[in-house]
Amino acid sequence: MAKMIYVVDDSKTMLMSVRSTLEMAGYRVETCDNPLNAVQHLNGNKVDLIITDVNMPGMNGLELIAKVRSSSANRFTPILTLTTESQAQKRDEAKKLGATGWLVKPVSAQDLTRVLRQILPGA
Amino acid sequence: MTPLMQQFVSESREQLQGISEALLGLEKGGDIAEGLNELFRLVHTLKGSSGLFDFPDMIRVLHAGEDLLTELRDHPDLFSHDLNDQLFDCMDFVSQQLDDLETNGEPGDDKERADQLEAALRAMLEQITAGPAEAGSEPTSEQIEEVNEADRDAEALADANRMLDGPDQPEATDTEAAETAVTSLPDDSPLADIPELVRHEAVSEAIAGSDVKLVHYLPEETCFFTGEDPLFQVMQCPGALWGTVKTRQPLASVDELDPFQCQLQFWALTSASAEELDDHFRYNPEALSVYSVAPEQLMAIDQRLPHQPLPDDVLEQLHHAYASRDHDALMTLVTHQLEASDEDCQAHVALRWIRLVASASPDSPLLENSWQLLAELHGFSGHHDTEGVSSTHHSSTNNTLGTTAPLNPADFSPELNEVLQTQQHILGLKDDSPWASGRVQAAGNSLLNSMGSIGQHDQQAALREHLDTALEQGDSAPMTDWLENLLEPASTTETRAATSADAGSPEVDNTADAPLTKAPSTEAPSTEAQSTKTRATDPAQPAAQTASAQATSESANPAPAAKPATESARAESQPTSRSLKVDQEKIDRLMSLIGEMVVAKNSLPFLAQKAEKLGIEDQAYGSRDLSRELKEQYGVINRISEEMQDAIMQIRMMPFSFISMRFPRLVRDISRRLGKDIQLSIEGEDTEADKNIIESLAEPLIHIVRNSLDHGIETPKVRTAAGKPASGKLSIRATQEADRVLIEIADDGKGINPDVVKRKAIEKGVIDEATAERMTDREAVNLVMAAGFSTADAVSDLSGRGVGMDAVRRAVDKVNGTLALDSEPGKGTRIRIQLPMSIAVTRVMMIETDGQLMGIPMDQVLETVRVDKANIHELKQVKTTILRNRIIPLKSLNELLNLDSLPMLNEEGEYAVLVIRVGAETVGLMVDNFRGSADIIQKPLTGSVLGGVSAYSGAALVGDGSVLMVLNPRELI
Repeated sequence: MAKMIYVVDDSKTMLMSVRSTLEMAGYRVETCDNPLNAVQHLNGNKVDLIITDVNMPGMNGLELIAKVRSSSANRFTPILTLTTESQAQKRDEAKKLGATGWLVKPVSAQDLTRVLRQILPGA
Repeated sequence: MTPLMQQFVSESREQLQGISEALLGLEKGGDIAEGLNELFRLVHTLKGSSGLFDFPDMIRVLHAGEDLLTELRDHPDLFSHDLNDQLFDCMDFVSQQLDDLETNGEPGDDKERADQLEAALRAMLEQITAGPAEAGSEPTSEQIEEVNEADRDAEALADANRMLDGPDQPEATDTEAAETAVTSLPDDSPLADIPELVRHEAVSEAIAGSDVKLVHYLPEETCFFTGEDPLFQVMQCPGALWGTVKTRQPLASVDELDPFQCQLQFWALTSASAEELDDHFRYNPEALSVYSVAPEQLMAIDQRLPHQPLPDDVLEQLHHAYASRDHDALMTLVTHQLEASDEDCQAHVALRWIRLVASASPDSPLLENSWQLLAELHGFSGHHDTEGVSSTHHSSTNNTLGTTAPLNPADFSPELNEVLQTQQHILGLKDDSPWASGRVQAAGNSLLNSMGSIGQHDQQAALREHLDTALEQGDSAPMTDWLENLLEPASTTETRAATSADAGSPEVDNTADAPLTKAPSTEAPSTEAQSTKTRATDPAQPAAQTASAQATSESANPAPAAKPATESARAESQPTSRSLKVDQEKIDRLMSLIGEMVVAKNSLPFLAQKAEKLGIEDQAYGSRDLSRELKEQYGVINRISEEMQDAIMQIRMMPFSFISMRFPRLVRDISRRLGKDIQLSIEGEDTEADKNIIESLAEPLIHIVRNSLDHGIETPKVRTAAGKPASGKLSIRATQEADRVLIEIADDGKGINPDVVKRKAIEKGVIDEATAERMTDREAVNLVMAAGFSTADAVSDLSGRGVGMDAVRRAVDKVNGTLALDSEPGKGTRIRIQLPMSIAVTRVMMIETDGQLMGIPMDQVLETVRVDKANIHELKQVKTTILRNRIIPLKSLNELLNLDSLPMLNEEGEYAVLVIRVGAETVGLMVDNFRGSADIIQKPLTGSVLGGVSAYSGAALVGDGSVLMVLNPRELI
């Protein structure tokens, strides 16, 4: 079965765009526009990859990463941060909390699939 | 418009609303820093999603806004109202662009405005960054322009770079790459492990111009917890020619091993460029070391091969061809010699190198290197200098070339040792469990495979015998004996093995400086073997391991499965949006209702069948029974459809906040412009009504609010003079009363002067003087809503409110609402609007006139009466009757509709009179007959012809499929 990618972003537009890109590339996609719900979902459901925005209301992406990593289901799941902020600081912070890598918005289909092929075995 | 764009528009509107609220919040005070953060987040997100499209103007403005906010976040004290104005302007611009996008499918082309806004924002940014001290000095417009040009150029450049570099954009790629690719290989490089074929390929690549590199990837031990898959990462390495995995240090025993820690290191030989490598490993640059490998470092001979010198005459010929640079001859000789013998030997390796170089690039200096290999093998020196030439000596690591070298445990790779030790441990377990034989068998298989993997087929055979014996005896002793035999020398021969490795190759000293020859020493594996052995035999370990495993699994106990996220229905944020946000529960309810409906529907074909049979066979089944069953079924379907209707209405319900959220901004802008100080309070934002009603009210309400601000509330100066507080109050309140929604807009302004209104009304010819005399003040004030009263010039003359109040009234009428206005001069004005909660289903009274069926909205019907012909009187040419001591004017519906026939009398000589309320008046409509009431779904009359007919408010389908026209008494009378 195709790999399941879980995308968290408070912007539905961004979710829609990422979803279509990923689905076009043959992945299964689930999206969530509320980080709190996302954490809850990811607590019990293993996915193959998580992509999360950094700037979100309620809970930012960094907190989300820490939370996801502290529960068992997705302890080893690759997590990419999706953000327009290209500062190295945010990336390092995210990495320390358990992020695998990052994507810079707006993500082109090419970039996205290229990165996924690099970090997602069997993709 | 694509769905993505629609989503973008709808979401952006929400964000704009949020931005607007945040801006207003900032003006009200409170936590400025927090407000700015929120503001920044919103603008940032908005910019982010607009980046998905090609909307340069929008992005430019948003980008400038974001930059400004970035700066402001650090200096919240610099926040000012002017800044806010500027940001509001920007958001208005973006909002305009969104409107254009929605109507035309693309944002408006308003480059100038965008330039202007961007410049203004950048100017503000300049002021801020210049420091608070200089904040007062306005930069000239030229300066702004210049700055912006520069900024934009720089930005464009940065953007372009970002695009080129891909998602990670390591800006220092080039220099970093140069730094990471060092030439000296580390001591533990596995270069010697690389099979000859791969080396050939690598050298070919090098000759073709590639820079061959050895990549060492040493991920952090905790890398699994960052979701990394280092093996996959290395396997995906671009241009990879070969790769291997090694442990970092001797592996701990199974009992102690932490499987969640990465114990491995990875090596790969690649022809990729430094940039490609940096890009591939960009998420973990710290784990990556890249070493340049010169081709001559790859040209080496496996010393484990037998050394069979070539015959002198062959050497002579080869030498001659080589020295005379006769490459063709050299190639022929080499090929011939290689074909002559199947048996592989060191000389052949050298010949193969010569052949490779000679065929690919005979003029390259590498040919000399390859010749050198052959020369050294045969004890004569190469022609020229010998630097860079290297030979390799035996490496003890897991090389699987099919040698049959004597078995020496010291040569075992750490991995193999690990396996052997573990099996020994397993075999050593003493118990009589029923699966003991299975365990011996399993251990035997592991050992057999291990021996196979190092080519020890003799040992395999011996082992098989031991295994059979062990299984026969039901005791693992024969196996442990064999294994001990195998491993025994390991601890004792370690030193010997190490020294012999050193002493074994006399060239070691000459070539020690060549990095290639620094192959892993044999000491490491044997030490490992020993240390793992001691650890593996510790019997206390398994228990400890199980305990820790348990602890891990407990701490990692998965939380209960999360419920699917149901998004709470939130206020639809933009009046123009055509999409509805609906609570999941409401949809679920609909879903279950439609399920019931489907079931109920299925009973109808059965009934039809029964009806068919009725006349033919089943005489006992009477038509009365059938009718009863049909009615029952109708009851069921009726119940479901009523519930569905209710469910759908619920979906259509929208909160009042849909309109009211615009007011804070509106009030802020107008009051700032007029120099008035106004406090706005909004209550009951959760009050719900049908979407259509809420939407159609937006404009009228804004109108009322604007009037109130413009004409109602006075300037602070006037107010203070009148003894009122300087700041005016405007309160908007929505409440629900039974099935009606009440909206009240009240201000404490100067109110409406009834005398002025009267005078104006007389001037406009709305009323005559006599009427004006009789009017109460309250009636007079309500004149402002009369059609024809409000005109543009009334605004300037009239001190109260006036513009378009009749338009407001009409809008309210249209959704069957009522509007009342109270005003007290000097105290203020209050407008109350009453609305039905829903207009989807209308209950109508059906009547018959001139043989046609018509409907009248039930909420306007007061009563139905039969009036005897004798009780109808003519008063001033108007037919009237007296009903409970009140004079009711009568009108013939036929007459109103221009139908020729007269109202019909029934057998008792009575007229059917429908008493209805029109505004404040009570009127009797003379019709032909009453026909009961019904719920209908009213459709508006549209089109150029029907749309202009005001006597009807709409049409509906009735049960028998005919069309029912619904009268609009207000327009009719």
